[in-house]
Amino acid sequence: MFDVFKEAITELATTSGFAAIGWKEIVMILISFVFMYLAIAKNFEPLLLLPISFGMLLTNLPLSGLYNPDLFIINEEGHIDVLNVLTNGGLLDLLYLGVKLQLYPPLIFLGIGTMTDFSPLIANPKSFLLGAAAQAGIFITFIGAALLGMSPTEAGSIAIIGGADGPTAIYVSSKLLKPTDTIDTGTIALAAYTYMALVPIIQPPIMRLLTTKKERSVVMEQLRTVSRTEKIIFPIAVTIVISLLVPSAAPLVGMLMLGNLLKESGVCQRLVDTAQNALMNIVTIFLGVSVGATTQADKILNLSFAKVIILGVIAFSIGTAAGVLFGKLMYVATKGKVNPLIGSAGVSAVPMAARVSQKVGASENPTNFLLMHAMGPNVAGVIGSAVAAGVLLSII
Amino acid sequence: MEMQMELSYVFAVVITGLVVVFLGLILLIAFISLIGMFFKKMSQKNKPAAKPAAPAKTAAAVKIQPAATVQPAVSSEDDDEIIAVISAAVAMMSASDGKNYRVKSVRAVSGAPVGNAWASAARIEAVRPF
Repeated sequence: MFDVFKEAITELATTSGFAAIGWKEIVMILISFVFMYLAIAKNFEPLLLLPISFGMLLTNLPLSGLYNPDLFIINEEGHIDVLNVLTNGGLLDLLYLGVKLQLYPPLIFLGIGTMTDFSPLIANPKSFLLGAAAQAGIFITFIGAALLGMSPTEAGSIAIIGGADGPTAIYVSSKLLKPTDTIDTGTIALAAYTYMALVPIIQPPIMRLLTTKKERSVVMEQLRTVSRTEKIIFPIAVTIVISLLVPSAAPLVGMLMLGNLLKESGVCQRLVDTAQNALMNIVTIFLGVSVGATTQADKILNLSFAKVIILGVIAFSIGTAAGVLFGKLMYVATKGKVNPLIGSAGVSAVPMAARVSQKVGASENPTNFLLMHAMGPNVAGVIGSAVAAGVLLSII
Repeated sequence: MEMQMELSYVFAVVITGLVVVFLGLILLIAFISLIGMFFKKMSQKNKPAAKPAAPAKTAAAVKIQPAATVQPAVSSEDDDEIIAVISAAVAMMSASDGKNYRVKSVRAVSGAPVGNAWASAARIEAVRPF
């Protein structure tokens, strides 16, 4: 009897995770703790970073079989074998299908659309220029990534971090990255969300460095009121123009604008309620935990991850700088009517980046309210980064 | 890792990207501006006899110092009324505080936001969390 007991215990011990765990997994689990800490204690984008970091923990527990990257290898026909994933996949494999098939980011955009007010942009359409200028961060980082010897798909995925838009970054990287690449969607998502949480720290020094006190103190004219009809036409017009120009941006822009149309129409309150609460929350959980699952040890503990981290912050900074510099251009062109600080909000990161513009402006003149003016470039940035994403997807 | 990209390809991506993004958003600017102009015209047609614009109000900032002499820095009739209102408010404040306040000077703040000082105080309060 004792022998049987001993055998059973030995068997259990050798097949347990404890026997299989290596130093890399331990490091990854510790890193997941760091992200959990940042999410819980420091409030760094907790709604996404917490599920992502927990997914990271789950995927690095050996033998759990929750996530199997081998299932997502592209076959001879040029796509993943979905049936194989459905029959042999673990829980997180099934959830990850939503990322791999580019289902979650557009659904998140639907929810964002129901929560976005485009009227500052409609009232001041020139804000679109700032939203476009800030996308320079994406493309200039692409050069940097290429110089560091990364493949086009890797470079594109890293560059999109500069768009400061989590769902867009996930959308592009899950579509571009190949199994042979040294980075994965999870890496990109981690970097993107961490930097988005760091927007209030990264942006202000750049904004102050590039502007003079006089420029920061500009009080902008109050925006005109926008009629309901204009608000209803806007999402339809944007969908048509952008989808015709960059068809690969259609899923993101289309869903964003559908959400917005539901909201502005005022006749779909029940759908708006579901899209911005229940649906968005469900998708956020699935997206977070399955993207976190892609951060397996060998994908993170390599030189490429360090490159992602460095290039990510560069992308963000260049985006901010380009927005502010274009803001300065508009300041000159309008003879001092535009406060260049609103340019930095052109990187998406809604509404954090607009808050930063407000805060930096208010530190010069507490009675200056840039918030609504900054919301224009801010929401234009969302559209701009979706267009940039479409461009990257169609060229690379 | 795959083969390195050629520099010409990299710059092609960058330039195409920037051009398309700007082009797309400039198209939208044109479109939205057109719609905006159309609606402006429509609303003007609907209201041919719009009321003349109300005279712009100047927001006033008050400097208060306990037991200081009154030095009015403004003289027009409108401003006299404003000073009277401010003095009354200050008098109320000194009654509730138990301290003696006097209005030392009243001056208009240049570049003040639209609306009155109370409204902007409320606005500052509202955006402080951001």
